[in-house]
Amino acid sequence: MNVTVNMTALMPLIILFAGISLTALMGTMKDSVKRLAGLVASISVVFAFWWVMERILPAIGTAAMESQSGMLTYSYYSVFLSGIVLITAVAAFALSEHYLLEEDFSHPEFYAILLASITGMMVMLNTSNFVNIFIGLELLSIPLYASVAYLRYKPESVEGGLKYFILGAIASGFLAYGIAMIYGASGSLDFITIVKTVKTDSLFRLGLLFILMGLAFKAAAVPFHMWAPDAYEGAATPVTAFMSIAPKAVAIGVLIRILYSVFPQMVDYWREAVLVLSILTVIVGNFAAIVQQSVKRMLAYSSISHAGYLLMGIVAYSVEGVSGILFYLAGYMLINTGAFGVLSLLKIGDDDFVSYDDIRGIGYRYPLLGIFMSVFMFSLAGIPATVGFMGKFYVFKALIHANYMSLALVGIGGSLVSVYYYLRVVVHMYMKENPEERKFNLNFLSMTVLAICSVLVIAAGLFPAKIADIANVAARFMN
Amino acid sequence: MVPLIDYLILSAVLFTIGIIGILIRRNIITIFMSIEIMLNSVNLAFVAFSRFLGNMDGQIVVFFIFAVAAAEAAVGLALVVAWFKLKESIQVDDMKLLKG
Repeated sequence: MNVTVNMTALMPLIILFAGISLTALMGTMKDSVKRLAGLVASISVVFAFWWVMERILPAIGTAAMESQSGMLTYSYYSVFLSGIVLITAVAAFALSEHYLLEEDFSHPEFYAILLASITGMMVMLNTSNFVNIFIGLELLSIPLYASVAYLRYKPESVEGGLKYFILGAIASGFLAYGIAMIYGASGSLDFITIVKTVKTDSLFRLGLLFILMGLAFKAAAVPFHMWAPDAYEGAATPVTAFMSIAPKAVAIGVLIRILYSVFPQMVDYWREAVLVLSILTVIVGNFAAIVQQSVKRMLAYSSISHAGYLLMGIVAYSVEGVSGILFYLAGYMLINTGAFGVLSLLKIGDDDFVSYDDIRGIGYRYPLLGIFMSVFMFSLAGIPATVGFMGKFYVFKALIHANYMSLALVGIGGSLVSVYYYLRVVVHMYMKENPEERKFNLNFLSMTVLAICSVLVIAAGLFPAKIADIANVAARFMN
Repeated sequence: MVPLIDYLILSAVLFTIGIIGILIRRNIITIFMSIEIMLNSVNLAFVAFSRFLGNMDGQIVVFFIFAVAAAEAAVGLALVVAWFKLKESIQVDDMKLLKG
């Protein structure tokens, strides 16, 4: 047997792995070297991003670039999602630099752990084999459990990590069991072979149900969302920013790929399941967010409701729906990085000041921070002229074209409810007095990230055509 | 020869035991054992399918799942140690800081 290794396709993973090894090694060196860990990690992510865009993207045509008999498959679709993951990673590294220094707990291992998780996401996205889906999911999750519990002297952080671990382990068990059933029914783990098999066996139904449950856990869809608020609240804020975007994008992206291109014959079956999930997710996410006392926890529930809008896009089952979801994810990346970025700055020493009471008066004491936060909140609420509005517009438009009028109305109703709790943040920032004076250190690097995010949120909201075109191409060439 | 369905029933029973164990046990170490039972039930299903389909892929997957289960246990036990240092308890009921 002749085995050839396609180094071009493997290179992004090798680069990320080199980043992991380097940052992990830096933990043993002297302090002046340790401080560079964030830079090294960012460089390896940027280099991987450059490689994907410059070397792999030109090699993809209408057909995906395959190597190692489908173990690595790059399509426009997976490259788009990989881009989202890598950009989020750089932003999260930039935000955590300041956060960890303020916390006085900055270790190079933190970056190694997050890089491992990013590698897992790349493995999971760029493959057409169920083994790699499972390995990628585990490589994504296990470092995330550790990074949630990274602040190991804080009970909240460790508790969030443990809860995430226990429920995440159930999710990976479900996914593995589902893959076993699919394997038993089709005799293969390869997407291309499974598409061709006739799916009359009831094992397919069972397997698909289990896979759907496993991925819904990772995307934090109701009723599999119990871990999300606790893990999001316990984790360090830049980690929360990262894990509210990247794993969700990966889980939704892989779910679309499995449902649309591996099980298109069973569309009537999975459509019902996703429909129920999406309605539950939007309703529970939005109503639970209203009663929260902490902005960070409110944003956790809001990210659950956004998973619901994304799942609604899956129900549409059209290219338009997928391109809407991809646009939504790109916009959501900008908004959530920004919103959690603002919260990561509200910090003195070990203490986070992220409850509604703590953010009173931020608007006029720190005008720039207030403007940024308002932009992100308006955008999350879906006010026009922001990218959040355009994302929802594309998803709901696809739903209406697919004759799911009532589902689109549920989504619009959900986002109307959400206006209340997003604007409550703005009201607290600008219209309430804060009796306590607090001096927050507005780090230049974090502020730059926030400025870029908020400018892009407005720009992409006013001129969405460019991103929408790219998303459209990505949606059309999934395989 | 034992028919395929017997293996699958055993695997399903083990999987259910794992899920129920995670849901009703209050001790984190027991929960970890339940997770291992769950993953091993998947291994049993893979091996049984592999044998009856005459396809080696399933047996290879089992090795990956072993490795993943080991990695998961390593991180999980580290989390328990961190939790025990803070709270001197390994009961799930003591995890009640985060609510709402």
